[in-house]
Amino acid sequence: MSSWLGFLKKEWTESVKSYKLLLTLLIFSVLGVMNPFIVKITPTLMKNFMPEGTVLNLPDPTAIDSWLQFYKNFPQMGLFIFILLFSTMMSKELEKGTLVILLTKGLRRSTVITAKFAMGFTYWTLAFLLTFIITYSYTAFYWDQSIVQHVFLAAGCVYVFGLLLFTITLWGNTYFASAYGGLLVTVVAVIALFIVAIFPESASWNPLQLLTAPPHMLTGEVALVEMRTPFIIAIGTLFIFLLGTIFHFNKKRL
Amino acid sequence: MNTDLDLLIEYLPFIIPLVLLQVGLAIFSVIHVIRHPHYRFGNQVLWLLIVLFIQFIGPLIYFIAGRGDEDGRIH
Repeated sequence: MSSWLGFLKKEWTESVKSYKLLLTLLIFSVLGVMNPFIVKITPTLMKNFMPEGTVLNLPDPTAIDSWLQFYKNFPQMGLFIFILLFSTMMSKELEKGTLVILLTKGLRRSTVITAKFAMGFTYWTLAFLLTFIITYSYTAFYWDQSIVQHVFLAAGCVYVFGLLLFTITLWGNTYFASAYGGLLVTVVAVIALFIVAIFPESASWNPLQLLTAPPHMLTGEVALVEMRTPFIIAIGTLFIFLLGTIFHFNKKRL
Repeated sequence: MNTDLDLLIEYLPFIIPLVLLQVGLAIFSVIHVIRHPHYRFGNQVLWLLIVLFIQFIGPLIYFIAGRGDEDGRIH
C-alpha cells in the first residue's frame, strides 16, 4: 500500500511540474464561466449587430439554455483537452524507460496502472466539479433553475462517459506505447460509437447516450430509466478496459 | 454611451474572472517562455507572440507542445 501511495505521489508531483494542474484548473474554470456568459450575451450581441429596424423575436434565455451550453462545450472542448493533456501518461514513461528502475526494485506492475488511473480519475473529477460548480452558481444567480430537471444526474452521465474515454485512452496508450496510439484508439472508439448510434435501436444500450441524452433529460424528454443500461454498460466497459490494461502491462516487455 | 456602461456593469460578474484568468495566464506564460529558453520547436519571439496574442489557446499550445522537456536546465 505504501508503494502505491508513493507512486501516486510521484504521479501528482509529475502532473504539477508539467503544468497539468495549472492548465486543468484554468481551462475548466474558463469553460464554466463561458457557458452562462455566451447564453446571457447572445441576445445583446444579436441586437447590436443586426441592421437598424430589424425586428428580432428572440426568447429570453433561460436556465435550460445555460445548461445546453454546458452540454455542448464541456464534452467537446473540455473532454478533448482533458484527453489531450492526459494521453501521454503511459507512453512518456515507456518511451523514456523510466519505469524499468522502479519495476526492478520491486514495484508491482499493477500498481503503476492503478495509480495512474487513480490520478486521471482525480483530475477528471476536479475538472468536472470545477466547470459544473461554476456553471451551476452562475445559472442559479441569473435564472430560475426550477424548470430544469435532473441537473445532477444528467451531469453525472457526462462525467461517467469522460471516465470511460479516459480509460480507453490509457489502454491504447499502454498497448501502443505512444501518445498517438492512445489518441487514435480513443478517436476510433468514439467514431465506432457514433456509427452504432445510427441505428435507432442501439439507443437503449449505447454508452454514447450518456453524452447525447443529458440535454433531453433536463427537459424531461428522456426518462431516467432509459439511461440505466447505457450507464451499466459504460461502467462495465470501463472495468474491462482497466483490467485489460493491467493484464497487458503485466506481460509487456519494457 | 450611457447604455454601453450599463451593459458593461451588467456583464461585470462574467468579465472580471475571465479577464483575471486571461491576464494571469498570459503573464505566467510570458515569464515561463523567457526563463526557459528551450523549445521543442520555434523560437522565443514566436512563442511570446503566440502566448500573448492568442487568448487561452496560445498558452495551452505552449505548455502542451512547445515547452522544452529539460525545463531549461541544460546550459
